[in-house]
Amino acid sequence: MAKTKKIFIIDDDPTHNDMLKAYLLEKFNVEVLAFTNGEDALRNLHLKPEFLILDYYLDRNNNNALNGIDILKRIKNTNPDCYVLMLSGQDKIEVAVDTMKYGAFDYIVKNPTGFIRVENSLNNLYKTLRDKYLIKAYRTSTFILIGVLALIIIMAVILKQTGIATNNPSWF
Amino acid sequence: MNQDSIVDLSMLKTISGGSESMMKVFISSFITSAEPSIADLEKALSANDWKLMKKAAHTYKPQINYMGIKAITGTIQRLEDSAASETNLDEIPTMVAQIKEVSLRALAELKQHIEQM
Repeated sequence: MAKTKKIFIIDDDPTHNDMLKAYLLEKFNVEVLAFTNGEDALRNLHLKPEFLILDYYLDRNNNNALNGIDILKRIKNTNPDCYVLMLSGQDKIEVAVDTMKYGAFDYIVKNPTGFIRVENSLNNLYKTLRDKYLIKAYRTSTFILIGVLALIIIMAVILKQTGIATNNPSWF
Repeated sequence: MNQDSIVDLSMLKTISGGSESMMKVFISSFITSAEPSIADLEKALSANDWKLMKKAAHTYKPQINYMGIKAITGTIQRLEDSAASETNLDEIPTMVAQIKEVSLRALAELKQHIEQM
């Protein structure tokens, strides 16, 4: 059975977390864990989420809380293979550029179409990952096939040189 | 929803793909969070705390957008911008009052809607 993918949602607005969690559970076969601050999410990275959906502002309950960019940097430092999608209420190009610079794979503005964009973004990511996996599997199988062919040729040469194999085998 | 409706759930219906249970989750989330969000705006206003106001408006804004409360989508954005830049401060009390009034009407409408689901 395929392993269920794990998604972390990190947003200081629990209402938004609830809504997005319900949406993702309806659309994907995933396990979703929601956090209202980045620090808790960092403490739970050992659970190995494949994807994180991270809000930009996380200081609703604590003025000193790390913001989304800080959390993104820390995640990418410790878990570089983890995919982070940034979500924000602000439609500012410089914020989007910043988040991509620090390793987010997408930046989505929280608006009525935001959930659909998150879904599309995750679908695109799944597709990219699947394609990468298929290409890797194809390369591996090609490599193995070449190895087997080379081994057969080497064996044939050795057998011929040692006289074990001839053009006119007596047993033929 | 009738023509006088203050909420427009068409986007929510699209998001939920017609799933009534998901619609219920979304609407219930708004019903739970709207009053505390309004209280946060009023608290920031009475304390003249514009940083807090910006934060409260920023948090409440997506909820208003998701519920399609179009009468105040522009107001909440202006409120967030005014609080962030600390400009047009004299207009902030009116904006908060309008957001509260419309939100309470939307809440009543949504409560009625969820009862009929």
